[in-house]
Amino acid sequence: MMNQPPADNSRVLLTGATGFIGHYLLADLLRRQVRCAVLLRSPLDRSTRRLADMLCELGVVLDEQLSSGQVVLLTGDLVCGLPDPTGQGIRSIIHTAASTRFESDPMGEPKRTNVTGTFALLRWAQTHGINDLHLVSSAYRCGKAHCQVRETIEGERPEFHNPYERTKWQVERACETWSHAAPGRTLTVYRPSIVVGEYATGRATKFSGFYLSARASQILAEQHDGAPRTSVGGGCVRVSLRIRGRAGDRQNIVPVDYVTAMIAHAVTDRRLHGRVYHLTHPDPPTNAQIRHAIESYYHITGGRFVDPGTFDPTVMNETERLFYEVSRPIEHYFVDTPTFDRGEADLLERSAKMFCPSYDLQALSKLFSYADASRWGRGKVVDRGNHPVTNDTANNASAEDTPLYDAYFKSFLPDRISRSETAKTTAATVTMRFIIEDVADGQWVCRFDRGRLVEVHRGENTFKEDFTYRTDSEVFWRAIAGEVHPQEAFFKRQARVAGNIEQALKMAMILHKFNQEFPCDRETLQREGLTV
Amino acid sequence: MTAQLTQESVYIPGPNGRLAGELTYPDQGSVFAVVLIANPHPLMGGAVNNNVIERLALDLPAHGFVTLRFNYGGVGKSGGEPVDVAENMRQFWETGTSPADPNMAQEARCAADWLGTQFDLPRIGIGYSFGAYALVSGAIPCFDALVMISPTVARHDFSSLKDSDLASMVIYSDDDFATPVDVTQQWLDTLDPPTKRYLITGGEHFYRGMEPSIVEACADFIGQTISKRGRA
Repeated sequence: MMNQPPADNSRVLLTGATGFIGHYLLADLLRRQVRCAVLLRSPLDRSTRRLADMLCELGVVLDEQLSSGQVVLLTGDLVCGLPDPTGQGIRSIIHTAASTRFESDPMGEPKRTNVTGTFALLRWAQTHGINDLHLVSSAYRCGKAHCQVRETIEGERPEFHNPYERTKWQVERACETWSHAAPGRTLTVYRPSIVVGEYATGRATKFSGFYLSARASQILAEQHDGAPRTSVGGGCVRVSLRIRGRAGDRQNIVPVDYVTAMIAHAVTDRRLHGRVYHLTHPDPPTNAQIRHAIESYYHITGGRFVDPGTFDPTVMNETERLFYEVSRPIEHYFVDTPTFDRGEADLLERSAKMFCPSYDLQALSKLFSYADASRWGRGKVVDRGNHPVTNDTANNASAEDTPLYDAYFKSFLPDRISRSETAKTTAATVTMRFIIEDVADGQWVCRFDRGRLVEVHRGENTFKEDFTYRTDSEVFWRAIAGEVHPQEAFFKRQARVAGNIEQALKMAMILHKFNQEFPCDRETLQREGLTV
Repeated sequence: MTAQLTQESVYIPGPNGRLAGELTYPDQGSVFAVVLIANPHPLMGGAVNNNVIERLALDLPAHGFVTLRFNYGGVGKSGGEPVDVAENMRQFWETGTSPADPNMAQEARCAADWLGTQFDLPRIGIGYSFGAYALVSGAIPCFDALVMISPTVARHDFSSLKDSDLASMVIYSDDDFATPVDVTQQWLDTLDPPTKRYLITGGEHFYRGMEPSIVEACADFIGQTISKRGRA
């Protein structure tokens, strides 16, 4: 029964449906008439709205799918509690939910979602007699691979570059153990490599990983001409940038729509179950090709690869330091570029009559173009018809305040810091990330250099920070008004710190002094007409 | 254990102006010792309302102890030049110490001396983080016993403890950013007589949410120390 939806009333449960891969996969499954149950976090109305917006972007109307019964929504959370599936006819699970944070954070990610969450899902599957599991893993669960990576689960535990890779390896092993623990269980594993935007348009909702080097280049270009540069034109900016890596090594990127089409095809054909698929590119672009595409797009030049064995990180110039601050999380991917066996994936491609498209200059440029146009995931800019992208993540802060946060970080703070005696005298050099938890996309990274605020960027995909200071909007506004000492908020557990705690607390003291020097509130920002 | 407490604001003569302190004691029942609680560095959250300091000050009286906590000069209502001036913060940013550090050690000594003039009871010192250094560097002779919570042995000089036979206890965390646990343990191994050790898992340095454990450990240690001295 190839490529046919199940004839009965059974459903597949999809986790991670509001994620980058998840929403593409859901759209693909629905186009194939697969009946789905979608796991969404509480509050359901907000999660549903977000999912509807995302699917709308892909031409799928969620309301129609709900009213026809093609989709049902279940409220639950992998870690905090999964729903009772009684009566939903769930026979299979497609598990795409994952944290893609490379490093551990104070919330316990990526282990919390990837390992704890998957373990909970496996127990849930066992309890409810669900025996068909499709796991979306990662090709990079191979860690530091020294030979071609095979499409099997067994093998010795490798050395990992980061906690993310380790969690993916652990999850595969746990799922394999689950599948062997009782007769009739089937495990199918999909291992995409670096998933990037849709091939035809570049559309993506997440711009970490591969995109970081482009982001770093954009920041370099902006710094050199003082104006945002998002398209080719004018003279080239020459930078002096050594890139640790080999020009001929390859970055294994795959478009999201290829990955999800392959998974959706495999899910609907039982003969393809029970295998491991490397959804990787058979002929990925080289580091040199990617550098060329980035440099062409941002109209800069001067990047050159230096063999990792001879690269001396102790003598970096300012450009290199900036580049590595931004791209540090993916630095090793320039150097360790494993190759992947694709025997099973080739069979899957032939069955699906679909092949991974190749990346030339134009295809790569689309990725950067989309990232730029969507302001690196901050949304509400890219117009794809009548359905703008929104970033309506769960948040309690007033939506009216949203522009004020940007105004504070990008206008008020740089202006006042430049006049602050506290900043001038303390002369701190540090990169800090503020996270305001109940604000959508509420992350700002500020880079101070000897007391000068030299960079402010919003969003997840910016500089690597020395520490993160995380709180909610109420504490934030009271702190910048000078009413709450950020240290005290930490001691009272109204704020959390990750990274270099000592620096964070020292900086909290400096910021409190600054906040007293230049108190700020909503009225100040509005009165001064500060905008970004 | 709940007890009605009296909190009394006091001013202590200090080297650069008077120090604002808070004395806390039970309304009823006997008291057996007075406890001076020395704050962490004021540029690192060291004030009388610090989570650990406050819990010790308010909960130890229920065990029959008088507590005194105070702000260093230039902090809160204490006199003297403000500590959080930019120049101090600059040095603190770079080195983790400030030019005002020696003054604060002197102030701890003044507070310990003042307690001696007010109460004819055994005196116990509890120093938290930098406060442990402040007590050790200037006030050891004043005390009958000493508790050091996350002492900053990696950045301050605690050598005067080596010449002392003071009964002491060290409370430390296995993930302390200020002093790595192995450094603390190596330092503890050098102490003679050996000090009592109390290791807290996951306390970081701040012991947020773990304050009751610290209070209990301190109360037990002080109680045992006093009763031993009584027997002697």
